Amino acid sequence: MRWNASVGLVAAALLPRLALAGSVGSLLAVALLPRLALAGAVGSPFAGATNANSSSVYWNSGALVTPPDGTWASVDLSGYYIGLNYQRRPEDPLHEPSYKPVSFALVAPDLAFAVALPKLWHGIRPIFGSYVPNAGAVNWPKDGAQRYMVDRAYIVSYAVLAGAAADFGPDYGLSWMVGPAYTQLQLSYAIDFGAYANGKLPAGAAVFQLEDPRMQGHVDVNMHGWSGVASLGAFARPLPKLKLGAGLLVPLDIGLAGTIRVDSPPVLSVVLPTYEIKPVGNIVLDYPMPISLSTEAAYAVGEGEVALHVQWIHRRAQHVFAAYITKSDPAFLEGKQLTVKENTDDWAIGARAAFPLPWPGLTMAGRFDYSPRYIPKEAITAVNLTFTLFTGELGVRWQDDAGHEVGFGYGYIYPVPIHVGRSIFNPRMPSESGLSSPSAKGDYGAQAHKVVLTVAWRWDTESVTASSAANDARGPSEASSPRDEARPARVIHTQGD
Amino acid sequence: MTPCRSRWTIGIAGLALAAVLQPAIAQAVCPPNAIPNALSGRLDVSAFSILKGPLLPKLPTNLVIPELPISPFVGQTITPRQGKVTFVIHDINFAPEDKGVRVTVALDVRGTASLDYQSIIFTNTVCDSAFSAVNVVFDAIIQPGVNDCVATFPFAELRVIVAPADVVATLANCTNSGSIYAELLKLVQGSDWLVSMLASAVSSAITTMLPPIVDKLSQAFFSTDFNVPDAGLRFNIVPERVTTDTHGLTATFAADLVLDPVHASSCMPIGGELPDRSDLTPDAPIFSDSALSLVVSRPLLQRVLDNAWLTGWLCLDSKELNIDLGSYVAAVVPNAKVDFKIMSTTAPTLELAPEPGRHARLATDNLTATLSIQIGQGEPTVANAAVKASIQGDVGVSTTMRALTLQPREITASSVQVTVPGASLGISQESVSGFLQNLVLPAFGKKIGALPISSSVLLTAPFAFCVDRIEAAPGQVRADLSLWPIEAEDTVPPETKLAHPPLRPSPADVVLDFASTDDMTPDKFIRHTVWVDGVRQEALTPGQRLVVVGVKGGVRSFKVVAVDVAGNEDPTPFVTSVLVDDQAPVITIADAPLGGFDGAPTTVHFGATDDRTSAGELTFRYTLGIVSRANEPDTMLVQGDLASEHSVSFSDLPDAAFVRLTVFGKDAAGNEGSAQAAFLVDRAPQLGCAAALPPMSLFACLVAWLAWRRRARLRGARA
Repeated sequence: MRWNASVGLVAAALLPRLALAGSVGSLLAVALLPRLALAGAVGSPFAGATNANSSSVYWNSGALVTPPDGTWASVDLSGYYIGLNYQRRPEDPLHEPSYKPVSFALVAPDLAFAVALPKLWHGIRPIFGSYVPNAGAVNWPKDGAQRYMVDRAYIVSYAVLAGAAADFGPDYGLSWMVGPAYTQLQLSYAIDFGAYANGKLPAGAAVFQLEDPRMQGHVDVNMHGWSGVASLGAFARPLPKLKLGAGLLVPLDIGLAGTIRVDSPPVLSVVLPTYEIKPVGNIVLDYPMPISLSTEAAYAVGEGEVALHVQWIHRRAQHVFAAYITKSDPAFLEGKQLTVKENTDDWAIGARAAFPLPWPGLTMAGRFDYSPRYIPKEAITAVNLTFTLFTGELGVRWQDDAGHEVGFGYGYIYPVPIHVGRSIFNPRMPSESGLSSPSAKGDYGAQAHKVVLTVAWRWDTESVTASSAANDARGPSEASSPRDEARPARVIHTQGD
Repeated sequence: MTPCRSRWTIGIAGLALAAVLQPAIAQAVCPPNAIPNALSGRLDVSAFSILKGPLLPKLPTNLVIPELPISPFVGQTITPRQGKVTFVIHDINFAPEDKGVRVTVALDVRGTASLDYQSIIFTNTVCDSAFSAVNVVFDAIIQPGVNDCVATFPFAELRVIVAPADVVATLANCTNSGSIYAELLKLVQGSDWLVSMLASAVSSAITTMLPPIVDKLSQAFFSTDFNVPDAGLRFNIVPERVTTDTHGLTATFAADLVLDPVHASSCMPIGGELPDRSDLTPDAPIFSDSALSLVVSRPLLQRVLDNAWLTGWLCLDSKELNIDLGSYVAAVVPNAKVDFKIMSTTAPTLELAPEPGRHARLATDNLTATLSIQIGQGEPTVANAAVKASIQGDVGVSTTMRALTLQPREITASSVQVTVPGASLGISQESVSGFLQNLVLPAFGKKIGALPISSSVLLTAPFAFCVDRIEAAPGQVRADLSLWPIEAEDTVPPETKLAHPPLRPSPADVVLDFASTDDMTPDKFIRHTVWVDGVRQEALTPGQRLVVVGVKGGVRSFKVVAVDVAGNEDPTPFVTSVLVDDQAPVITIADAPLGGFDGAPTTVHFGATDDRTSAGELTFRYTLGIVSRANEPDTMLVQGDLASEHSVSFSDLPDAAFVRLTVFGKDAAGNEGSAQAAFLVDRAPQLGCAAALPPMSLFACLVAWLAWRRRARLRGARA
């Protein structure tokens, strides 16, 4: 999955702070981005012969080596329910008002598919697929305490990749895929014109009270852009019971371009009737995308299988975002605008087990994943949000002998609540620092659930049979392995932003 | 291009002169509302010698001898006819004593007369006589006093000392025989009548002529300088008491102010009323040893302040001072014209010497701040802020500019109410206080520096005064002055000399330091007249430092003429061209920590360019401060100069601090540009047990979990 829907998950903010003091433009927020930990219980895209599913396109296209030769297709449809809440705490309880808690909930869908065609030459077969490599959304109240960070925002990317998978005998395979990705981003948030004006004055000479509703304007950002994604996948079965999988995903940075519109507070039109402040400018944002490396080791135990996963994502690349605003009229918005994320590298570990049920063709699987927060507490905001996640999933899959598969999984995600006692944001900081936003102190909480429906179809059963026979002939094969017999459930993986 | 303007051409020096010479004003009328003991002046004994310079040429040089008959012997009368006496005054001295001021005049007397000699024997004998007396001494005590607000200067113990041996008389052309001539000569030389006649003439001349001279001088002084024309104020000062002792002469005056009814000011408060200050009483004056010291009591200063306020003083108007506040809002509202005016709607209260090193503090309960924003040709939007505030400032003397200065130091607001037409904005008293203190005040201060309230060099016939020092005490302000006689006979012009070449290039405020000299005028009394590109500046600039502000960039022509206290102008002006650079260097931060920074030693690199100064000649400094979450200036951590490698390194920054690094670059003209980088020092990012590397994170998380488990068990056990 690529709607990394988790709660917490992430957040890679994308948007520019726009230097408009007090606002943040950051980006998206709750990114629903995938992490290994959220992978579904119903199968694994890594280690596997028949374990491949649509997520393999993202995580490890090397797994697409393993479906039996012939035409094979898989579709994953995931849905996430995410609820977020935030209780803002004042920096100065004596002089700041208390804030009402804010929350929202959303349901996010995610669709991915993968196709493997018959082998053409020396074990090489064309593969292609699509998925959502990057997604996130928030829908906070427009008048909530977080409004200067964000109220509504989303980012969604969709990638279509094509490439080839090659096997080097029955136990080893490689794949590589490339393709374009399209990203759309929208962001809106309140802007504190008072804070912005204050920021132009010397320290200590600020005139306006911060977050005065009468000085509140609004910013809307719309951007889109194209980029590319490349992936390398590897599959190996060095021992009859041991399968290894690894995937390296190299997304190119997304060059986003669009417009930014700033609506001034109504009071300004009263105070300055001869001047209309409604600047619309162009904005470009080089949205850095992190390289990720995912690995899995699966071991056959009886008729079942257990597996361990480790994932690393180079999210430090998203430490700071820089947007550039041009051609705004008036020009006060123009220039470099920083958004500080403070991301560190991200990692996750998980364990998976799958065992056949007593009914023909049914497999049950479960998994547990842990993924710590990769943004320091002090950098957490309503738009730059990630939680430490504990995820438990259960899934069941049915597969017939004709190669038709249906899987269903449910996952419960427990985001560890966050108390932010110290915030890196200070509206007195100069806007160009990227830190000139209201303090994000407070308590953040979330809840999330996910469901996954996966369907796979194979059209050329003869080839499958032949392939299986060939595998058998080459040695310990999927067909002969207990795990293969068990056809363990697929894992639906979500994918990092 | 406007030179520093004097808003107060008050004459403190004039006030001092008045304090000493006021007794000569005979027309004084006791003002009903005058403040008693409001003003005191003391002329030190050391300054009395200076008085004689201007007085000597004004004393009488001749006198017609009255044709009054005298009878040296019974039956004899001598009547001088057509007699004239000529004085040659060698010296005059004033020496204060307890009884008064002793005046001693040393002079020679020469005269001629036709002596009509009548006796029983010889009648109608007429001789032409010529007589002289040398080493004549006039000695008297002037006992000053005050009667109905009029100072009196009666002479006492008047003596004219003429030694008979020093008297010589000759007769000629007698109408009778030689024996008669000899007899008459004996009568003239051998009797006291001639001595008495000479003494009477000297006494009459001095006691008659001296007071009018003093009167004339002081009247001229009062009529020209002793007022506050910008505020429409004139002083009404009458003497109360004049005393002397061996240290000098002290005069005490009652004073009131006369308000010019036709005066108008854009800052004049509407419907303002003066408060009752009757509870203020003057302290006893404390004088210094300076040649002339003037002590102005707090009640008088308060009254001056009250009246000045009533006529629109105490008003900082960005328009008048040509201060552009639009630059602060240019980013949001381009091309906006922003004017700011601060004035008090009630009379301010004066506090003198509120703390060591401070001269005065003005407090007002109602300070009105008016902000006007005009965009294009549209009607300006005016925001009004009513503020309770106090202003603290220093009064001082600029030795280079020879000016009395008032420098606002601090404005604090205790409450504020802001109104904008059609809207209400949330502006707190803290924010207005900060705005006034940290923006408006520096803006005014940067533009005007110390606001000259009066030239410290004042020319009032027949003396020039120079204020050397101002001291404040809780009850009074004392000005120490030196004085210099204006020699009417001085016709030699001064020589205009530049002390050192001006900066090349020079900033927009061009500073020219001169070392002009004169044969008689001391350097500190010399003034200059300045032309810039052929345009004469407003007024003579006292002192040797000339500052012409706001000169546009480019090569500008300056012509400077030195002027001495007698008004002689140097016929050979100093002419020079000055390259003016009115643009500051552009500083850019090349790299600096972004966002959170782990606090490790780091180096910030920056770049700098300037339109007239090469990169190698630029100089740099930096400040590193902590940005508060409150509306207050940064807390300074460290500051210093930088070498030219365009980098600054620092370490050991405090954790969890918002840090602002500001790099300043100064060009050869002294223009300074700046750039800043701001970041948060975050030594220990709160990632919990998560870390960048999974193995370490796993271990850290395991430890954290064990610790949590142990705490949970302990809690359970305690429960």
